[in-house]
Formats: sequence, structure tokens, C-alpha cells
Amino acid sequence: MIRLENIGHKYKKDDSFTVKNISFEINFGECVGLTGQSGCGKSTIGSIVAGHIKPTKGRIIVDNEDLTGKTGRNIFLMHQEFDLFPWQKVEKQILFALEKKNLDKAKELLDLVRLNGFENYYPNQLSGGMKKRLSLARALAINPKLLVLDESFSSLDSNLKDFLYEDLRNIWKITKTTILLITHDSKDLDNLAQREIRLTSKKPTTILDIKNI
Amino acid sequence: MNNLIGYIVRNYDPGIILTNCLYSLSRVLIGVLVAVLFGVVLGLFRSSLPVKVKKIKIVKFLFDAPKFPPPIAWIPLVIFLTGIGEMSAYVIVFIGAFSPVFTSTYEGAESVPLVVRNTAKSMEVKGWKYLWLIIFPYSLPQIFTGIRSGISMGWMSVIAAEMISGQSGLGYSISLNDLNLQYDLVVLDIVLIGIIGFFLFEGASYLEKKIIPWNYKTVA
Repeated sequence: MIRLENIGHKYKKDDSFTVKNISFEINFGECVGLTGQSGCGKSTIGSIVAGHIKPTKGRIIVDNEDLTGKTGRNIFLMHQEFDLFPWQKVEKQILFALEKKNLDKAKELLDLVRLNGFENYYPNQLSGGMKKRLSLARALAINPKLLVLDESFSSLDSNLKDFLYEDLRNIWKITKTTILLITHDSKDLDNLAQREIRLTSKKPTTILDIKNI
Repeated sequence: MNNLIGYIVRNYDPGIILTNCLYSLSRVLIGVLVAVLFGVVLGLFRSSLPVKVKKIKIVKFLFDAPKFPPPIAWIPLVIFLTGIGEMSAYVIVFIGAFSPVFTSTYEGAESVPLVVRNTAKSMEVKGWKYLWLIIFPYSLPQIFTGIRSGISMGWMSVIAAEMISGQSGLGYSISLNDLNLQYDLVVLDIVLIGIIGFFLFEGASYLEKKIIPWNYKTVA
């Protein structure tokens, strides 16, 4: 289980809290949506969960281990922007992310995101949707306990999103990866999430509602 | 073209011209190579300093101020320290080529987006591996911009150094021909400097395409 305990954060010492009293749990194998209006602090929470920001208050507990402010393979954040390494070809991206370099595993993941046949392409040579699928395969190669998808599909058009939803649902059925889906798009939630954690729009951001979908 | 080459062969000693070209070329290649090694290593080192240290004015001054005096201004000091000879030419080329490589490496390393840095950290790529496997390859396109400028600067610097203190090379040849009032040879030297400079620049661009192909590939 992944547990956020009373997370609060302010970016500067003298500032007021951006987010406050954020506590929730995610069970392994679950896909939970984190929603709220733009600028409400969803991405801040995503970065805190992934260890890229150390929160001013509170703890992140994964499997009874305190991972507050620690980056590592346990929690992986897939960004809104393209975060691929431009100098690595598709297959190399996956091999680089795997803890034990295993070509068969890399091929299996590329099959899963339907990128077989593109092993020797650079990210620049792929379309937006393919880049996102590659990012997803790379995230799965890391094999995190929690995969945080921070508006990861917001830059894609609606048709591409529909394809990706289907891909992601299939992948999720196979891998049972635990996902925290950060989004402002209700379509993302309808297609993927089992639970919704809704944040308030007033500062400091707190949790408004948690409900099953 | 054949007439021009025939005229040059009949009137000038091709052996001397070729020797001068090779002297200048070897000096610039060695000087630039050393400048690239030092420029890349120091540029990456500067980028890897803690943010607080990088923001200190004196640190910025120490890294940035030495690049403002032009290479030609260093020539008397370099000759005083190393004497007239090959070493002074290498040092002058090094001074000319180092700054563009160092600056572009540092700026390239600083331009690595936060999302790429965070992704690497999540993959537990740390320390020198982080510098070598993430920051360095991401910076390569900008490093090559610096190398191309460095080659141009190095080439101009070696000619200037040879004109002032050389005993061989195209710069020395210009000075000698000027003294002998052989302005046709001066023009020939200038043309050769232009041709070799152009091919050096093109050679660097060719290398860039071979070493960083991802920068030239677009959507299939």
C-alpha cells in the first residue's frame, strides 16, 4: 500500500502552504485519479510522491518504508512533457531503464505498446502518440511500485487519446501496475480510474472528495 | 581551374606551400583537440557545481572573465612563457578554441530539462554516470556548436600566432611574402587559409552528423 500522510508544502519558507493536509491511500494494483482545476497543486503532489520535491510537512510511505523526498525506482513519474532521452534509440531507451539488461524483456515491452519494428528509431522520428507509448514502456521497464501519470496524455489529440486509453487498459490488465493518474480531463477518469480524489480550487489545496467511480 | 593550378605550379614551389599548409593544419588540429578535451570536462564540471556556488559572483567572474581577451592579446605573454616555437602556437590555438567549447558545453549542460533530470534520477542514474550518460549526450549538439566556433577561432588564432612569431605555416608565409613584396603569394596564402578553414568547418559538421545522428533525424 502507498500512503500519503498529512502532506503539506510551501515553495518558499515565508510563503503560505500551496497544498495542505493531503492524506490518502492507494492499494497495489489500483488506478486512482487525482483531479482538480488547473493550478490547484496536482503536479506538486505528483512531484512530492515521486520524491522530486521534499514536502514541508508529512510523509510518503510505500510498503511501510518512508520514501519522503527520495527518488528511485519505487515510484516513477511520467511527465506531461516528452521526457525521453533524444540520443537513445527506442530499444536502448527500454534497455537503459531495465535494472537487469534483458533484450527479451525489452522486446516484450515494445510489443506491449505496439512499437515492435521501431527499435532502431530515435524519439525525434516518432509521432507524439508513439513517443507517449515509448515513455509508457520505459516506465514499465523501471517496474515501479507506483506509476504517476502527470497529465501525461494532455498534449495528444482526442483520437490518439482513445487509442492510448485502450492500450493503457490492456497494459494495466497484464501488468497490474499501480497508477496515480493526475488529470483535469474527466475523459481520462472515465476511461481509466477506479477511484477519484478531487482537490479543492481554493488555496491551500486540500482534498474535497474521494469517491469510487 | 586547371589553368590556375598550372600557373601556381609553374610560378611557386608547391612543396613549400603544402608544407606551410600542413604545419598550420597540424597546429590547429592538436590545439583544438586539447581545447575540446579541457573545454568539455571543465564545462561539465562547472555545470555540476551546486547551484549556490554557481550563483556566487566571483565564481562567475573566474569562469567568464578569461574568455574576453582575444587570443591575439595573449601572444606576447605566451611567447614569453613558452618561447618561440611549436608550443606557443598550440597554446594560442588552445586559447582561441577553448572558450567557445567551454561556454557551449556549460550552456548545453545547463539546458538539460528538469523532466529529463528527474527521469534519470528516478532511474537511479547518479554521480559521474549521470554526468556521462545523461548530461553529456544531451549537451552534445551545443558542444558541437562550440567546436565549430572553436575551430574557426583556433584557425584564425594560429594564423595570427604564425604571423607574429612563427617560423613556418601559412601565417609565417604571409609575413615573409609581405617582407619580400610578393603580394601574389600573400593572396595565395589568404585563399588557402579560406579554403582550409572552410574544409575544417565542414569536417566538423560532417563529424557532428556522424556522432549525433539523432539531431538530424525527423519524423519517419
